[in-house]
Amino acid sequence: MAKFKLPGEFFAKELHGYEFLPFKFHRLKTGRVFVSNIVGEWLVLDKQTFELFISSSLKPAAAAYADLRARHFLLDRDSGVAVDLLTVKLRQRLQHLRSVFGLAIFVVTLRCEHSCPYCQVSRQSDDRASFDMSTIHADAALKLLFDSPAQDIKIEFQGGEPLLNFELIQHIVLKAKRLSEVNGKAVSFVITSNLATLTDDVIAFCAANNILLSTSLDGPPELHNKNRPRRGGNSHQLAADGIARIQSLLGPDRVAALMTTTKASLSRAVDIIDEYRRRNLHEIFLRPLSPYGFAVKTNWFKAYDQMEWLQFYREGLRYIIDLNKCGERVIEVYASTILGKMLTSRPGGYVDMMNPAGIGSRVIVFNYDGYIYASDEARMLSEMGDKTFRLGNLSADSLADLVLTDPLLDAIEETVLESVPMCSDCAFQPYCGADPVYHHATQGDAVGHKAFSGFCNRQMGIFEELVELMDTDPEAARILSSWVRQ
Amino acid sequence: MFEITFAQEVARLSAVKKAAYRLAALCDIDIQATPSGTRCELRPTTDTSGAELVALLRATALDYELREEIAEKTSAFRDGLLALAFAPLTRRASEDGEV
Repeated sequence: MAKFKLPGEFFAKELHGYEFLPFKFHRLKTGRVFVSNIVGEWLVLDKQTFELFISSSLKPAAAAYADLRARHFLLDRDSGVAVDLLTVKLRQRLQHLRSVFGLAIFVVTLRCEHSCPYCQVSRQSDDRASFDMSTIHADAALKLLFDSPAQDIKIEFQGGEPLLNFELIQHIVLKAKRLSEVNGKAVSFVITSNLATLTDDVIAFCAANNILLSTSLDGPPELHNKNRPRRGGNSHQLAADGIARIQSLLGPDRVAALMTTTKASLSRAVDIIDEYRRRNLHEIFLRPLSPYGFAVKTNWFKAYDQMEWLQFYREGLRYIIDLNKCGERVIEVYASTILGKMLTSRPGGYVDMMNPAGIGSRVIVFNYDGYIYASDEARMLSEMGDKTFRLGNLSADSLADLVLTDPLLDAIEETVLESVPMCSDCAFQPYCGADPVYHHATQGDAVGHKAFSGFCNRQMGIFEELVELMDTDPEAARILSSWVRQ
Repeated sequence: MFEITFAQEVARLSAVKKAAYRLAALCDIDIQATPSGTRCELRPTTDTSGAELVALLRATALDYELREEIAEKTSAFRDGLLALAFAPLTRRASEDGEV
């Protein structure tokens, strides 16, 4: 006799009425109720329908009944394949667990000619020996990466200002391409740059090697230059010129920009979005300050709270949706990422939004000094003196040494949302992330108390905003759905 | 200080504890198990009034009680789905009716 029942026997029951499949709920400020299930399918119900549903009194003829059955909230006599479908969708939602190192960040230098008060890590220095990555370390990182099980690798160059060590970028790109051919692995490249030192040689190299560029654009000139000071006070001009040259020479989709919200940004959501439109940038990532590095030392991180940022985000999002209603396609990237998780079974590739956390598994950071970190935020934390998420060193450690360290495994295991207080009962859990580094940095604990978590407050605010928009405004719902990448 | 007592039949202790945890940014809550139920003493730590906090705790605890009931009723499905999702894709011969 088999020790376990077969799946068909396990789930088979003579049904009268309906049974619940696992689901969670969240009461919206509108009085309606958001319900989601184990694979992230969701519905918004009016309160009366919700009460009928949970009291097992909802009639099959009710308008919501078919939706609840189709989206796997209830099981009745006609739900023959519900369990199989849920299993397949759950597998798909967890597929990221099978892949490693989708993103490898190379910090080729810590040097930068900007002195942004909110920056996490950069140094104004000409000391290449102290702050540039060596070729030996770069080669060791590539070996580790291409010896790993990773199949589809995105290499992102960061700094400091990575173009200040462009020679090493060239070396890494050319060597990675050779290794990808030998190993049969896909590789792509992104340079994250302020574009102040962009040259024709850089653009030509990016063209020849299919390299994307990502830059910072905080808004109109006076706001951008205030946030991002450099000698000459011309950061905005250089960024705008760089964006225009890349768009002209490489193509309009070869450069992306993102902004960081400072206190001075809060009242200027519309101005910031209009600046992006002026630069022919049709995707904007409305991003709050992170609690790391100089942003903490200079107290810029504390200059506003999450509620103020959420107000800024809502204003920006509503403006962007209005632009779309007028026929102009503009996308808010963070909303697009969340919607991808809400409207598809795909897990999404944004590390902060992964569950279990993607630190040290989906992303790995090779720092300029040879040390290896579990995420970009982990190396920023390290610059503040906290080495908790430092995995090892390129000179000494093997792949197994790196990914099997106790601090990393403990942080990932402890922060799996299904077992975290508050998260375990949260209806937005299927779309959220663990972000242990944030909670370690702000609360000294990888799990953190979510009632005091800025991350949780921000996420909840955005989820509620998106759900309420989709629930109350059909045109906004259509626009938001169109933002999901195919 | 403000207080409210939950009869066990209305909200189990774990539901009240979860509700108190969720409201931790608004007030301190002492929880005591008494013969008449779970007694909560609330001390506001923000501008939210005591009456509002009591109402909020009551509503939050009842929602957590409902979540516990739903979780109980669906735990077999949840465990089965997770087991199937993480199981190998290859079917065992016995599942196909072969011996």
